[in-house]
Amino acid sequence: MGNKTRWLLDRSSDLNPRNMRLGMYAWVMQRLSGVYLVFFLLAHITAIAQANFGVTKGLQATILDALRNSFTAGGLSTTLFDLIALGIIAFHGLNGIRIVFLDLGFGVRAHRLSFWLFMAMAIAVSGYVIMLGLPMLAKAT
Amino acid sequence: MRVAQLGAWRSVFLWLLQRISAALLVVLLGLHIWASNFATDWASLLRAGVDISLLAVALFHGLNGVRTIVLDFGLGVQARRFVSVSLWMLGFAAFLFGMYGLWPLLFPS
Repeated sequence: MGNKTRWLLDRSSDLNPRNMRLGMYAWVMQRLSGVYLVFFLLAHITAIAQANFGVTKGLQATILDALRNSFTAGGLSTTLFDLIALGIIAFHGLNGIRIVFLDLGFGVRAHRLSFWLFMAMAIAVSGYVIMLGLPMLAKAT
Repeated sequence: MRVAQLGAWRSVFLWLLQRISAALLVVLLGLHIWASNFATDWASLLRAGVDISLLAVALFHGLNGVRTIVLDFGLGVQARRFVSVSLWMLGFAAFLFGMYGLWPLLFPS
């Protein structure tokens, strides 16, 4: 094993799946989802900037138009793109609230239970937003 | 010693800001999703205020998070400085670009 990958792959690494338990998976997923959301944020800013300045022709316009309002102007693929982002935002946000509570000292002993409770809330929040958007999606297609 | 203490204080401050911005994001993001998808008749000034705040807070939270992750790989002092300065520059550029994009929302013609 190369020296460069020891921190990740070594038997003694905290990130070796054999050493990882629920809390560590939550930590890793929080970081991975965070990195994804930074890229999403930059893409979202770009899309809004260009859409608000009215690119009106061609493929670029179609993509930007769809990105501008996923529920009314999007095709299936952009809706899927936004739904994935919605799910990841809900995960990152709810798990983040849980982390703040843990940092404040609430629920440290029940952190495994609270993870699943907050994940249930993340699914509920995503479901609620999708439920709000469904009639608009049906109207647009 | 004094320099090390100063650095530690700044790290604690950034950690705290990360938590505060997280709490703000929960509120702002809810308003943003609501206002841009479901409440088109909202007062545009309030919506613009939400979007400008969200732009700044989300960029800070996201790029500070990237900084945290990168610095966890154990960089030297110079590399840390380089990463921090680069991310601040990227953040300012993205903020200006985002404001440019929000301009029609701020001043609808």
